[in-house]
Amino acid sequence: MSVLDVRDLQTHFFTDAGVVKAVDGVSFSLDAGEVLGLVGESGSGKSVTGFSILRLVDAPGRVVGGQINFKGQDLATLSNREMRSLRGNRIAMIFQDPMMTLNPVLRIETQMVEAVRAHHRVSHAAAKDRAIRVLARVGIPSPADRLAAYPHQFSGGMRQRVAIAIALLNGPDLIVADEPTTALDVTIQSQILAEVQELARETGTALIWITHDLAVVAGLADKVSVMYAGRIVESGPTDDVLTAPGHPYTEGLLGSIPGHGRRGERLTQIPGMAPNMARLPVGCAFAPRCHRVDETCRAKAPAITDIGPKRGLRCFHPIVETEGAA
Amino acid sequence: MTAMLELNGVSRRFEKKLDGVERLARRLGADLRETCVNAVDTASFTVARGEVVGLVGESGCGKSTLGRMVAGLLPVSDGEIRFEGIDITDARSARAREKRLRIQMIFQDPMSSLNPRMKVADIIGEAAVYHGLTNRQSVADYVDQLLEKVGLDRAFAQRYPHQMSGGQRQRIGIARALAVKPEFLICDESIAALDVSIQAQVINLFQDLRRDLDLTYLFISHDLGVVEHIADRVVVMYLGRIVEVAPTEALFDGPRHPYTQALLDQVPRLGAGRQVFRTVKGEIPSPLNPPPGCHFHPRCPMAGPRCRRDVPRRITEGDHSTACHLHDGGTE
Ligand SMILES: Nc1ncnc2c1ncn2[C@@H]1O[C@H](COP(=O)(O)OP(=O)(O)OP(=O)(O)O)[C@@H](O)[C@H]1O
Ligand SMILES: Nc1ncnc2c1ncn2[C@@H]1O[C@H](COP(=O)(O)OP(=O)(O)O)[C@@H](O)[C@H]1O
Ligand code: SF4
Ligand code: SF4
Ligand SMILES: [Mg+2]
Ligand SMILES: [Mg+2]
Repeated sequence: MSVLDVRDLQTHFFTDAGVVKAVDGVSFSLDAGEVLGLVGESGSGKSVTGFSILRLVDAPGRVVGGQINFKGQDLATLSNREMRSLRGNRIAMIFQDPMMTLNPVLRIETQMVEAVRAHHRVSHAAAKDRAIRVLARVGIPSPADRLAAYPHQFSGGMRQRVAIAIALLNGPDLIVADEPTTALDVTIQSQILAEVQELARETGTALIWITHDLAVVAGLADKVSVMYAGRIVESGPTDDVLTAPGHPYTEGLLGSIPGHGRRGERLTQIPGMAPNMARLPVGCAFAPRCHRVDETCRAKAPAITDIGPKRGLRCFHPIVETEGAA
Repeated sequence: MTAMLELNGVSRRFEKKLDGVERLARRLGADLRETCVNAVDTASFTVARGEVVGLVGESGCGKSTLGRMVAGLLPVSDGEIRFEGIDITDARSARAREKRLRIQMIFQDPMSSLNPRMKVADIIGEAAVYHGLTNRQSVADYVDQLLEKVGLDRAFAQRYPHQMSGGQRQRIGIARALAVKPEFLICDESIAALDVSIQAQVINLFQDLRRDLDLTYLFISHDLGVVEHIADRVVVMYLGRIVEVAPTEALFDGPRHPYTQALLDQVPRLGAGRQVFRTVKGEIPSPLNPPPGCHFHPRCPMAGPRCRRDVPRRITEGDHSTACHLHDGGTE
């Protein structure tokens, strides 16, 4: 049984400018120890997807449809109290800004001990012990001494590691990580990626890694889902998707990454910019920027189609005509 | 070949003054001193006309401070910066001022460097009029031409910065810099805040402008992929010091300094398949209290006794220079 199974999730924001369908029919599932990379440009709905899973969407936003099954349990049916006892315990979230997790006026020790004791009846000493072990695990040197510090006494990279340690504290089954390394240096990023990778392997924690960096996904994730304008437009095993993208948007994203072996070449440009989510076109949302667009695409929106056992694609004219593709 | 830009032993120190409480504590006998950060420590390198030189290193290593000194936005503490042979650090010299106008800087966050109450037309046109590159009558045409150069519709001239996307604002920042007809652009993390597809648009724009306007760049970025793509040569900094300078290909194919080697090892790459992320141990140390000798020694797998004692010299072989004892007689 999968750890997480999201079916047709819809989260909309009811704003003055109109209804923003930030997440509009998103589906994916995750097994124990599996890492899913959720990629897309800013505004495509990645964070809202993550917040929806943890039921952290605030007004004017609301989950208006779909199911989120966590270990066979529909999260929508849980009371707020039941949800709180899952959050920070069986399901944890890591944010881009570690101060979303950390309280600036409390010592690290207080925050970590509370986080354990909110969910487990253990002594202060036992909770502290656990905190020290987890801090060591994420590479904080002399963790026992650092417990007395306040968040502002750590560098940005260290703070993010403390936030990750708090997410790990109760050995969750699922971690949703929302761009946690985007603001960090490559050296710190790769330390954190190394730790997270080992963790998923050793403890069987399933991981959703939200990022706009396809290179990180390439190195870290087992499978990838590419989001555009609130929908998943392509998904599949990471290597398959990145070596043979089927969706013009995925192809464009890959072409726009500078890197090895392409020195000085012109990068592929995806023309235009991300769409206004309150005023999406009738047909395919990518149509105004797509070089394969035709009348069909402008008339109606493509549905997601399976093109192989684990691969889905939302496009009338995909790049590789695999068997089963429309 | 004479260099267009030449830095000789350029340093910048920042004093951290004690605050009121600390001054009081010191009067009461606490051992508190005014601390000093060597943000940039005797930096020397050159940039030839038409070249793109990338400047890389971890956060806080002094990249922006160096860029701001070259742009004349920050005085140097020591050393000289020559542009076409003229020392531009002399604030009083009219020739230095005239040269400095040829150097323009583009910033990471265009929002904070663009006046929110000014229309795009005025943002772009103001400096050009002031410096006599156009006049009140023809400034509108001048602005239109610049907008076209950076790939924006002329209708944008009537907008305010907040009415535009990040990528469009970045183009306005570029148009404003181009308005005074610079020959040398310093781009400080100019695309870091943009989405990948928009990043590609701006990188292509930089390449086009380089060709069309004969520009020379100092390109500051912590994104090694971007630097590898755009730069001809790369300067690597660590904690205020330049540790390696080499042509891009030589640096990426055969980095010589252990820090550069570690840095390149960490870059996630497409096409590498599933990666086992390796790490340089530890974090970049505090610049307030840098390690003695080679600043990198606490994190360096090759460090020996000499590294804890002596500051390495930069040794040049051909067009590749490295500041590491391994390349200068050993670490014993
Ligand atoms: N005005 C200032 N006063 C005091 N210290 C400063 C000042 N400006 C910079 N510094 C210090 O100088 C060092 C270099 O800073 P700089 O901004 O040049 O780094 P950077 O390499 O551009 O980093 P980033 O990648 O984060 O932009 C840092 O330790 C910084 O804290
Ligand atoms: N509180 C909110 N009110 C209105 N719209 C919102 C709110 N939060 C997010 N949105 C909209 O939802 C869409 C998806 O946002 P988000 O999930 O944050 O994107 P990202 O993929 O960058 O994480 C965007 O169009 C955003 O403007
Ligand atoms: S459906 Fe049409 S417009 Fe949309 S991505 Fe596919 S080809 Fe492009
Ligand atoms: S000088 Fe010594 S410590 Fe510094 S990089 Fe070279 S080997 Fe490492
Ligand atoms: Mg987000
Ligand atoms: Mg900087």
